[in-house]
Amino acid sequence: MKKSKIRVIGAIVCSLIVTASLSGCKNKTEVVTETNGGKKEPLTITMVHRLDAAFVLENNPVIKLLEEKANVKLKLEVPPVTDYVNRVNVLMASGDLPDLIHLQNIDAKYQEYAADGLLIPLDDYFKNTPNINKRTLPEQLEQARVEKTGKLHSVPRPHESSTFIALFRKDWFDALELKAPQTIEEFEKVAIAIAKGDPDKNGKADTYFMSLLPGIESEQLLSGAFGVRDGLTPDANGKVTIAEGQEGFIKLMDFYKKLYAEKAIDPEWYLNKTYGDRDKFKQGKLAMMTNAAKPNELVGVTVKDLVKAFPNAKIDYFLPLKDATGKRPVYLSPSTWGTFAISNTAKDPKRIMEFLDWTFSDEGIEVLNAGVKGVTYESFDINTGICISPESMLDARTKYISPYMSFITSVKGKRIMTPGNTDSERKTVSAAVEDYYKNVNIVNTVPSSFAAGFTDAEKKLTDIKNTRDQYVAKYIIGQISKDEFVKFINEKFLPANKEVIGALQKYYDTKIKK
Amino acid sequence: MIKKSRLRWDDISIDLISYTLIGAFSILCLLPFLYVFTYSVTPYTDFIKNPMNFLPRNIQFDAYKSILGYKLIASGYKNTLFITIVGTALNLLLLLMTAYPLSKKNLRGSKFIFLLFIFTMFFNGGMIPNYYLMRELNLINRIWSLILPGVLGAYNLILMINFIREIPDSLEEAAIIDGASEIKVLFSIILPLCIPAVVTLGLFHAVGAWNSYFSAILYINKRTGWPLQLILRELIMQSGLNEVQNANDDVSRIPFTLQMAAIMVTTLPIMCVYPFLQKYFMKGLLLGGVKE
Amino acid sequence: MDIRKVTSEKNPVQMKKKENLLKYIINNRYLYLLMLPGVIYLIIFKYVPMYGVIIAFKDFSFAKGIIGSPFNNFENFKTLFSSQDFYRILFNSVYLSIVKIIFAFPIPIIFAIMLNEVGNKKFKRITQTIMYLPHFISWVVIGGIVVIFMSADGGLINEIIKKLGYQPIPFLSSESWFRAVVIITDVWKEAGWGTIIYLASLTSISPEYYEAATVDGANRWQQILYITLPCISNTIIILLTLKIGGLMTNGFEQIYILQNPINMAVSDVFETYTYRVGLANTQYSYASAVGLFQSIIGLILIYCTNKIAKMFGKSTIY
Repeated sequence: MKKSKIRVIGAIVCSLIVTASLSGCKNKTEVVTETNGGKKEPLTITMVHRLDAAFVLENNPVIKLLEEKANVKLKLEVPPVTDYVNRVNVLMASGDLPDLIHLQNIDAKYQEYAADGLLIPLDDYFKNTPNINKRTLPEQLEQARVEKTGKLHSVPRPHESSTFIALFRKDWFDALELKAPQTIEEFEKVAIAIAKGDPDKNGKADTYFMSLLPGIESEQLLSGAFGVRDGLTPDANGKVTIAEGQEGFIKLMDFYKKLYAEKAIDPEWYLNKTYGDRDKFKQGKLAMMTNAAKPNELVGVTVKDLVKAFPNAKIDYFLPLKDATGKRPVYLSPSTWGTFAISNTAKDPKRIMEFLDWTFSDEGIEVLNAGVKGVTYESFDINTGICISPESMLDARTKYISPYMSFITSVKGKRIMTPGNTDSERKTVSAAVEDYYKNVNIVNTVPSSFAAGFTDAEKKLTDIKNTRDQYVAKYIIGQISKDEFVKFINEKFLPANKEVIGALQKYYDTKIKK
Repeated sequence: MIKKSRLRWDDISIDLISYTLIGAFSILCLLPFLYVFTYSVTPYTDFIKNPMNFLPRNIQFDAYKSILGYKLIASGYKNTLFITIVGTALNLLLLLMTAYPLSKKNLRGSKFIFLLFIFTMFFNGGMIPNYYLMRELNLINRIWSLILPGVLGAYNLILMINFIREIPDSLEEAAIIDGASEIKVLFSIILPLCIPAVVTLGLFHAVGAWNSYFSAILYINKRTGWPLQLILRELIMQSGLNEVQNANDDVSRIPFTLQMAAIMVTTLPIMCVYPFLQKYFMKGLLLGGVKE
Repeated sequence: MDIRKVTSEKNPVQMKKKENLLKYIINNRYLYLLMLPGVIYLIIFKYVPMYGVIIAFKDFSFAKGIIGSPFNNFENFKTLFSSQDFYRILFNSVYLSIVKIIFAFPIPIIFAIMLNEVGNKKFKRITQTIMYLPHFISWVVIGGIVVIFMSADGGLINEIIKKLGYQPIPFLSSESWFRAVVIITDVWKEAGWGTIIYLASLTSISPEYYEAATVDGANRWQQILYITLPCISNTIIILLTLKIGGLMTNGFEQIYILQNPINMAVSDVFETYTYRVGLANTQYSYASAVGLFQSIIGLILIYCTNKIAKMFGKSTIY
């Protein structure tokens, strides 16, 4: 009895599935016609891309121009930006792959997709991509190398190198007759003076010098001066290690602890989620905005909002601090922002690569970064990065152009588009960038993930990294003693990272030392 | 109720406790809503200066204008309304039809099937098999892929069965002896007696459907097919830390005022549903000795 | 009486002979027909994809898919049980759920009964509507408001505490306050919403009961105790059973919003753990193993609770 019932149900299920899938077949046939003069027929490329919601897809003149110039038909699939990774995962697992896939990060997942054969190796194609080769640094391209196959499985999007500066409230500094700090000692003095001085003159001790973000407390602005090196930069004995394994790290934490005790650091910094510290800066609670602030932010929204709310606010910046020898060490590894890969189901990888190469060409850069002449901009100079676009085109610009849509945002570490809408804004940013490159001591390095086995070893460390963040936070706010903290770092954290450190050392010894 | 002529201690104590407790809690409950409303109509610079207000001062509706001018809002509304209305109707129909037979403890097989339902409260195939299923059913990119996966849940089923069991057997027995089929009993006797339950569970499902977005991430690949909540999510953009390091951060943040206006625009309609359903929750609604 | 008598719980029909089975089904054909769509739905949408559960026992590879990926000898579970965080997370999850059941679960019941006692219809209508509003505001926003109130640095509550001459309380950044804050915010956001189901249950109480009780001289407290409560006890027990079944789950958003490095030792639960592991790497199989572990415990718990309820002669979910 029961069996027959199951059989009946099974039959119903099957028939339902069959009818449902049959009924859907009609709309699946694709029609690709349209021939273009003497040219080859345009190549239809299906692509999954991560584009922000403000970017309009329908009747977008920029996409139209791109299709025309590159002789392609772009069929974009655009999952939500916030959950992009989930969607890509499902696509990868289901085998429903579009031809061209944008991956948000070059990470363990990327390695896995490629090693599983879902993304084709592109090494051979790179011979015929002059524009990509010209505008991508070898260290940027190298990030796409997959450990298991030893090949390059994607074209990374070259991005601006991390030029971290500190933005500060010039008006507050002036009111207390303070100068932008250049050394650790000056930094400390200024921080305490701000904490004690009530720079906004409201009679309340509600302003602080700075805030921090949990998990990324150690940033280049201070860490270089404290002698914290990059994971692949050796000490005097030729040893490399992660930040926590270096002497300077504990010193830096001690420094934070001291500033916290002096109320120079926001007392509830550990509650900050993404952007939390920026919001506090905007609200006139902090004298300094740090967390990965770049020169372009001198004219960015955070500063503009701040000035709108507090018309007296003046903003200036200072560079990473000097160390004991008077240098400003900054560890620079070329950045990328996601990557573009071709799936194993793509029919014509060669032409897709040609398309990608086109996006790196002068013409491609102009279309994707500046848009359509007369609609989104008036003039664009690829060498200076100056794009003139009047206020009346602002609406079209926000709708039809997006950095998410561009395939290359920076050349050799420097932004293609000089930030700023007016000449004076552009000057401010350019001057800061120039100042940065002139006055910091750049130590060129490569991402730690280059070290074979590094990514795999790091994957296993989720637990201990989380514990580390707890210890750091508790140490800075004075909930645990130095002994406890140092003991944790030396006896728990570093041993857990043995494999990671080993991978770094091995890579350094075999690849960099030579 | 019988009118009382004198003040009695139990009246005073109960009234005192219930009015103050409920009154005070209501005021607290109003705060989040007031907060969202206040900052949706306050100029952004005012928020920056004072982020701790619960009443608006300089009212302006600019944020609403830009939200309503946002292209996807219209299609979002259309999709969400469809998902909510059709989904809830289907849910209630299936719920009643399934719960009624399963409420009979002695019906052969009912316990087994019920256990199968309970099992699904804890176990599911996960993202990938569900995606395969949707593809096999050819539902990818269709609005039904947002309705069907959640149209009948074990949680609501358990509650519905519980409500049906509370109805005395005598009522349906009488009807069955009169020769009515169970289908007729369900719709003409059980249903009218279950109205509060149907309204409650319908509300639960409607609110859940209104707020759902995850299916759309996986199954819908065009923006015009997104439900409202997914659009809201995109507008609010709680993107991860990587973004700070990488993106051109100037473009990726939407001012707080716009976020608050987006919340108002996307949640106000579903908030307004409840007052219309309240009449079904009045005590003594089902007059006439439903309880044995 | 024919075989349909099955509808009465009190007189179960004895079914012994096999040939009666067909007759039984035919006699109850309408009941089976009614549940057919639901059962088909259950099979297609819930059980067809169920094979995905085996991913927890495999080393998932994108190329090979769920079926093709190799079994890895319970490696995922071994990793889970040997993880240094596992026992802490298990403890945190269960502890938090238990305090939630003790302190947050009864609140909607109390509110429902109070609302039932409120005579002023207007007051009742308005407060009821207001109480249900916070349910619609997301945790992200609630989290922001919580900081406004509870921050140790300028938070409204702490300003009052300071004015009264006491030290500010670090509500958001102490391990000891974390659970209290979770319960308070949970009640704040969800208690009003939670009353709805009890209010629906209360509608079925006949006013005659109260009238009879008044005639007998019972005061209103006694009426609550002997009429109102027993009448909604079924609903309470069912919801409690379901809550206990969810002992291993605490929901992601609320905990994530209230979590920070300082309270992490008590605030880390399964949901936040899986999120973290998922962020760091693919590990589909591992996340599924964590989920499966939670589910199995949940199923066992709901089974036991149901058994206990049955033992005390209370209503049960099955």
